[in-house]
Amino acid sequence: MSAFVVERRLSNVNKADLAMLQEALRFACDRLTSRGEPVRCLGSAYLPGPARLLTLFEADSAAAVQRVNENVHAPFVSLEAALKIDPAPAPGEV
Amino acid sequence: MAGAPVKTRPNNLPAELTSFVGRRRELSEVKRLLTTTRLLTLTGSGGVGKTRLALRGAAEMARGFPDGVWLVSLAAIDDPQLVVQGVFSALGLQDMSGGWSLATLSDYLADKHLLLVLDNCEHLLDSCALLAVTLLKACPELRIIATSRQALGTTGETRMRVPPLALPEDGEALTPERLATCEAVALLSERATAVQPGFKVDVGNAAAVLRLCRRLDGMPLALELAAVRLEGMSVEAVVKGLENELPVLASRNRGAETRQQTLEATIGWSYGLLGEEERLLWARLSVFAGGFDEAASVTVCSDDNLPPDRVAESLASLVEKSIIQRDPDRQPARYWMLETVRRYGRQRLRERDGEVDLQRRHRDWVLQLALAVGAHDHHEVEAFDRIQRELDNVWSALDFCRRDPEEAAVGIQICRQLFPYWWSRGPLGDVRRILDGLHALTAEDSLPRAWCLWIAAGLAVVQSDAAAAWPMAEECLRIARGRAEPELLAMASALTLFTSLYIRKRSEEELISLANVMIADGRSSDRWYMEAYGKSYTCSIRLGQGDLAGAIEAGESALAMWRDHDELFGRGAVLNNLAEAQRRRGEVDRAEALAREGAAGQHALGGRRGLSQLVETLAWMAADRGADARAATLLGYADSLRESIMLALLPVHQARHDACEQASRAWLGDARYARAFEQGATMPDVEAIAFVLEQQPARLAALSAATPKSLPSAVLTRRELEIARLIADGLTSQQIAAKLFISERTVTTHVTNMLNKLGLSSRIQLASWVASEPVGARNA
Repeated sequence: MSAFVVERRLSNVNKADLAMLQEALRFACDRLTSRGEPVRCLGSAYLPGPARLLTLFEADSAAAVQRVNENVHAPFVSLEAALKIDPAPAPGEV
Repeated sequence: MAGAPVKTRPNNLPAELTSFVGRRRELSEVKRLLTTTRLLTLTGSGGVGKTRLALRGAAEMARGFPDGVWLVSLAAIDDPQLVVQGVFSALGLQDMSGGWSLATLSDYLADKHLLLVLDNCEHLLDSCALLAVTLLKACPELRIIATSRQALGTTGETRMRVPPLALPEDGEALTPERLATCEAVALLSERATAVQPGFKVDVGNAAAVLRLCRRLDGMPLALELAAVRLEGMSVEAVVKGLENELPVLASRNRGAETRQQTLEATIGWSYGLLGEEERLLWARLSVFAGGFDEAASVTVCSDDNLPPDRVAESLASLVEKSIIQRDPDRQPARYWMLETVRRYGRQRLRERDGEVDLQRRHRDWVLQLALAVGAHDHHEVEAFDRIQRELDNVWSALDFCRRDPEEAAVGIQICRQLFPYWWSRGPLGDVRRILDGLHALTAEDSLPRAWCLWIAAGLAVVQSDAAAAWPMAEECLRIARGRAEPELLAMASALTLFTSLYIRKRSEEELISLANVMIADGRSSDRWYMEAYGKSYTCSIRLGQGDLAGAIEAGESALAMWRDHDELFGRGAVLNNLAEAQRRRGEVDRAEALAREGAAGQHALGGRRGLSQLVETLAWMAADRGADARAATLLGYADSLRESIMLALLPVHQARHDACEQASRAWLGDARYARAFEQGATMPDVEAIAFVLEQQPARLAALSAATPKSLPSAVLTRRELEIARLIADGLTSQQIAAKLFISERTVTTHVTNMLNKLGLSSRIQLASWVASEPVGARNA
């Protein structure tokens, strides 16, 4: 599975709206996954200054991520392939 | 007998154009289920009657939903991201917010007790499922009926399969009278009577009628298509024709798939019986999304193979054959196809290799509608209303444009011409999303890119998204200066100026210099409106500087230009600032008159954002002169307007709003203030605007009630009828001009046109004619 970042502009939103959107993204991912196109929503970060929401996905294709994002009623500005970098294990951690 | 829409609750349910036959058991089941579930999905084959059943069920349950029952028709929507906008539109709301539209909708519906009917969900299942789940979770008193070939597939959904109309059991011996009471036979018989008044099931045709109904599996749409053929064919002939088309019906395994094949084959059979021109028109009309009127069908569908006069004739013929539906209550009459029939036509269009050509012609027709909006003339209210009616066609044309780089420039041109409409009525977020797609198709530093940035930045400012607006405005201005294209340079200057007014990134001297670029362009070209805009902005800049005399001089000059051209959109840009300048100078009466003029214009354009600001301003002015009850009522109306466009009060207005409220509350006391506020918040629109304008609501209500349905013989336009009534009320042309915010010359033109149309020779005769009309022309 590859990583993708989706950017959307969202002004005038509060924490409850963002939580609801996160839930909607997960719902849309689950539906597509249940039809044999696995997509995972790994989480989002909201940047209040520029009013942007960045969401990280894992999927086999950008098309699947696009389909998920088209169904949550929140326009997105871009969908880009990304490199997911996990934190290095702490010393002594397996 | 055709039914009327339910009147007991607010709703947008269409009147039933044909009788509702049978379905007693299913209807009872729908109503029972709706008391136990919050999401009921009616599933079944296309043409089985899901929509009719849902609408009838919703109408009969309306009493239980104080906030109404609302139909969201999704057949014409192909883009899943437009579904929420479809709901806003059905509810009569405008989403002008910059937030997440679904959260905004959830907030609005959170305390509402209403029923949504989501019709034709099958091509948007994921989108509809998410919408339903999210809304039902956030809105405890909301219920939804969905219709779809497939269930939405969500937790909590109750599914009800809609069967075909009932048929007698095989081998059951029935008299013709008993047979006629079977649902499928009753429907066939009812529709056949419409084309052959003496038709009835009797001993002579009972066996053939039963065979026909069995052949068509009791599918309502198939039965309706077959019934209209009984006008010129015997039942036996229809059965024989269908048997050639439907060999599969020999099978006794009549599942959903077989029924779908039955329907498609029946549609194919109907298609085969048509003449070539009718077939061609059916295929071509499938390019329209959400319907069309006759003039549009001629513009888009006629050519050498289908001359304009033949389009009208073929259209009438297709209506007679139930291929095309016609709503005669709309003026002009509105036509549309059931989705199954439209998709069949689209398939035939593809086979004829004419799809792209037709899509271009459809796009060009939409462009013409858009040009009328951007023309800066006195037709703008009609042009705005036309776009409202054709919004599905606009989305469809824009969708076509953003699929092909060669079409992008036209798509941008459509959006640009529609800018006043988007600005006034939205939906801003969806237009910005479409512009993002078009932007990606344009070349660096090209004119289409610059215009795309221009529109997107302007809409971003309205959404208070300065972070997005500023770089786009700067980029637009950079391209404009590089291209040295006068109109673009002037418009880019306007954009930069407008953006700067919100985010204060340029000095006032720079802003004045940008306004001067616009004024110079207007004076050196035929773009008079550029000068008017430049002066309007100068008024705003001078007001910000505290230069009241400068603001009033520029504002009055701009206002004179807008009035001279009978233009409302641009006028709205200056009236609020000019009113404020006059108020600060102590000219309170003049200030209120200006604000009222602005409010009337915004109301006519359907610009609720601008209207809410002007009503708020009028509330402050009322409080200033001690009219506290009026101030409270105006605050209530402004509040309800903001709620209907999903916007909060602008922070910059908060202090004056609070001061107004405190002053009114202190004088009236809490209880009287609350009553006056509530009165404004709940007043019907026509009464509210009459209150704002301090006019007689009865007269305004009468004007507003002049629905196209009531127009006498459909000969007069709405505007002409409005003027005719005022003439009958004894107003002079000058008074009418002042009242309707148009020039005296325009009134005279309308009067001349009316006299010509009605064959009259004087205004006195016209007034008598108004008085003699039983419905519509007189104040109803």
